[in-house]
Amino acid sequence: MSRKDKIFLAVVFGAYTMAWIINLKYIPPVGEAFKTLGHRWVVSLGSFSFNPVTIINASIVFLVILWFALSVRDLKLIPDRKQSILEWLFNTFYEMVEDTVPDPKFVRPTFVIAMTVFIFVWTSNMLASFPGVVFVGWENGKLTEIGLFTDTWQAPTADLNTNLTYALMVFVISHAFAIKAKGFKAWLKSWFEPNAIMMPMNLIGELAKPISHSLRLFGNIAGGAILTYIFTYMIKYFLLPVFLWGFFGIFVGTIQALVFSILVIAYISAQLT
Amino acid sequence: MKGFRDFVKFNLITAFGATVVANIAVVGFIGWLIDRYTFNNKVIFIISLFLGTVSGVYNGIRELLKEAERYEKLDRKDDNDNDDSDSS
Repeated sequence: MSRKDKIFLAVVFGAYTMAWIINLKYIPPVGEAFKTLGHRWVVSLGSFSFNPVTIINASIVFLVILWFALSVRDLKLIPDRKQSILEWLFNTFYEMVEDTVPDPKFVRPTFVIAMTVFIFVWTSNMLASFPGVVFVGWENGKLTEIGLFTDTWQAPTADLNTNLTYALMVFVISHAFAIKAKGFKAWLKSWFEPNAIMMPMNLIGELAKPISHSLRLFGNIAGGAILTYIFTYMIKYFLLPVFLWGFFGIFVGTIQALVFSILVIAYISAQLT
Repeated sequence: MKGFRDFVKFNLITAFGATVVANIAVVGFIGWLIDRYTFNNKVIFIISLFLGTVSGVYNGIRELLKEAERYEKLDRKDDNDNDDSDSS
């Protein structure tokens, strides 16, 4: 470990200890702490309601991705560490798409979609591994308080709307690709395979895809956030949260981002087969 | 790539479970809607839950078989490539 790394770790640990001492002073009693658990801040504009935290945090994720993209814009012939990791990641994904998608014409578009989804979902999930600004909602959707370092940032993927948007987008894209690859008649015929009686089963199976796709990511990320909150409260914010943030944020976050994008590839390739 | 693929294969287990649950949810919801606007005695809803289970297992197994076939093909291709490189 270099001297620079040691200083960085010491600063992070110092900041963490300070946040713990401050939080220890303001820890609410059990009844109050769990009253707002799972509730979101909801803003209504006429008949349209949304969670502003999702929009704010998704914007942060977009800015982080944009900053990173700009920092690796100038590719070198002899890659540095950052470029090597990126090249390895892109290469692994491309090989995976090449292995899965049967029609070579659709390899590149599928890769672009899957990679974009992976980068967004992974960066969103990583947000949940850092303590930050927490917006506490109440049963009627009103904002009750804003906490600083009392919990991790709320990942945009912990909101079902984000995941469902991506899942529906993949659903529409996969069918559009299928129509383009097989032609409209063959695509229509594929609903009646192996015979016409199975059509309702095929229809239900297709409708279930975006639901299982989005709910799986939502359950893992939102569930992880709730578990972390409960455990963090139980041990009064002392040391263990770092492990929990790491486990649910980095480990589970990476696995789920990978699973989500693998399913994007699988659903598109299933329509092309 | 093969090692990574082996890791990805574990996804099939959760994929099967998620497919079954999602099918039950979709058919259950449709059944609940139909029941609400027709007889309103939960019979159609319960029948739809059973249909959802059947559809879930059917679609889950179909997906599993499709994926298993694909992985088998890829593994065979990898083995052939390895044999070719060993012989040369």
